[in-house]
Amino acid sequence: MNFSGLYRLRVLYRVLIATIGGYFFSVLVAILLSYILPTETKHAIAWSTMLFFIIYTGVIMWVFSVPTWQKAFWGVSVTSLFFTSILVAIKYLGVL
Amino acid sequence: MKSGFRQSMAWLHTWVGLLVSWLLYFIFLTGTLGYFDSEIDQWMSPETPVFQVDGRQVIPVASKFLLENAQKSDRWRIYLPVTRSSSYLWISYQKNKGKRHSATLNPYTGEKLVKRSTAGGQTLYKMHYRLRYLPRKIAYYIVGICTMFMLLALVTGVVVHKKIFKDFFTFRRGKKPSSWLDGHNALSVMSLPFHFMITLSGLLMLLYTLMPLVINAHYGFEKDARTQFFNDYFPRGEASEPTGVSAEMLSLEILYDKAQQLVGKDNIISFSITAVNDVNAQAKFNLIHKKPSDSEASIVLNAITGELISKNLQEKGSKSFYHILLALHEGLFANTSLRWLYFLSGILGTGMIASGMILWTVKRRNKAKKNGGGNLGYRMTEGINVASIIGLPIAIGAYFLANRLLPLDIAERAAWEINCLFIVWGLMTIHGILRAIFKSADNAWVEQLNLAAAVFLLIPLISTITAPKNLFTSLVETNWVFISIEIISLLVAFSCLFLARYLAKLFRFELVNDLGTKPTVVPREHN
Repeated sequence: MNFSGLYRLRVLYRVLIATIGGYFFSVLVAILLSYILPTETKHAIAWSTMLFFIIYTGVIMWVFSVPTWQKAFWGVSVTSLFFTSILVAIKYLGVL
Repeated sequence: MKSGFRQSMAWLHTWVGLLVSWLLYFIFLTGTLGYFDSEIDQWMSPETPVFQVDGRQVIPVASKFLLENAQKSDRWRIYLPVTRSSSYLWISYQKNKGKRHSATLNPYTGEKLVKRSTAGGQTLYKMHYRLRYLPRKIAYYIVGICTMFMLLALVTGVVVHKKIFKDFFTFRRGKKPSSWLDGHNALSVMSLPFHFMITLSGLLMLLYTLMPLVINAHYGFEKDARTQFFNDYFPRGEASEPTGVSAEMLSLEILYDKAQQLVGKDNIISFSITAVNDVNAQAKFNLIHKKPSDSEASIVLNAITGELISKNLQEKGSKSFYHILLALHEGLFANTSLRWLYFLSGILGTGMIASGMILWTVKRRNKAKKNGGGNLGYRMTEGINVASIIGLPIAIGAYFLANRLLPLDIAERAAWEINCLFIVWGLMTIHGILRAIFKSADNAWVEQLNLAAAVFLLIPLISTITAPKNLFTSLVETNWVFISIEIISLLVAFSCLFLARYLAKLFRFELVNDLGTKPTVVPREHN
């Protein structure tokens, strides 16, 4: 196993991308789902909150499985930005 | 990171697992004991008799007690001695949401039962999510994060296997890392559905505490946003408030009979009356959990007229899913055989975590031996492994002993039982780590196993000397609760003794081998 400083730094990046980036990504997807699931709002909130944990698990696994941490970083941040813009459109511009 | 999906997942599984395994082991072990919480309660108050009575017979006794003691209260609650989780008639009453008084009664005579002050099985099992000595919210977050890691470890654990079914039937005996790996696999796969169910439902238990943001997105960030959502989602049918206009209620007997007509005989576990002797008086009856979907089942009657006000026997949509998973987690509906299966699955889960912890060190053992016992990180890990895997059971054994040995009249007795648990666990941790750093964790394993054997041997012995019941009288009375707990203690004691002797021999053998400077082939490890 390679214990050089660079290797440790790369692991640290991935841990941060997975825990913090993955968290925001999953929260955004869960909130988005709570708006579009075809059921009463309160049930949609409940389902999406439950799904949050499944999504989070999936994202963390994805972050650790891609070849480079840069790819993980861009993957998580670009999709998060995309979902944020959709959410803004729904919540403040009244789309949907 | 490692190249290849399966390799990177194996890496993730190893490190995620190691990071939280010690706390998860604590959560799993105390949680598993929780499937017999009421039985442990019984063992821990040996002088108090337990009762199983037909609910209807008890109503006059409860009624008499409330008329004598609680006429001025506006809220009554009555638990009937009809299931394993309630073995006494328990009554509580309060006035204007003030201090709640309660009494534990003999359901035949209405006499107050004397119980020793004990933390019991309840406190032991509550620690698996509430921990101890920490503010509630912090404890929930810590347990929640561990559970999230557990879910991650489970999913990655499954995906690293090319052929999970074939691996399940593989056991390579006597080849150290491989045997441990096969054992770890077997323990995990044998009750994999249970592990997933218990982890997922564990997250759902703390659902809105861990993830409030989806609610906030709809209800805003004000302080009462959560309350608003809960009122919408779990409408409780607000408990009725007294108006000040008094009215005569139907007797408890009549109300109970009316409820029984609606929900069937022998189905009511408890009921409460709100706005007692007021025009607003209501009686709410809760049902025994006989299947997972019963967990929230209840009916509400008007206590003046006896009319049905509301009936909640079946949840719908997301709530049904949510409550069924919570009910599966708690297993309150389980009968004796299913309860043992729950217990066994929990033990398998505990074993899965323990074997995972050991696997981490066994894989690095050869390398560590080459450079004089490994670096500080490796030694600490070995030490903490001993302190959790063997040290925690010793501490729980000490908790049982404390119940019998602490003087009955000391202040805060129940809290001191728990303190004993943590003091002993702390000592075991110090012992394990010091041994691992200054000598070798091998010594700690053997010593703590011997100590565990002694502690669990003492449990039935001390119980025989100090308690009115002992293994022999229990056998005569066929009191299965006492028999099971004390026989299991003996089994644990002899297993520990056997393991200690086996390990001592194994470590000596290894030492001889190493001194013989035999060149050993170091297997190439991926993680």
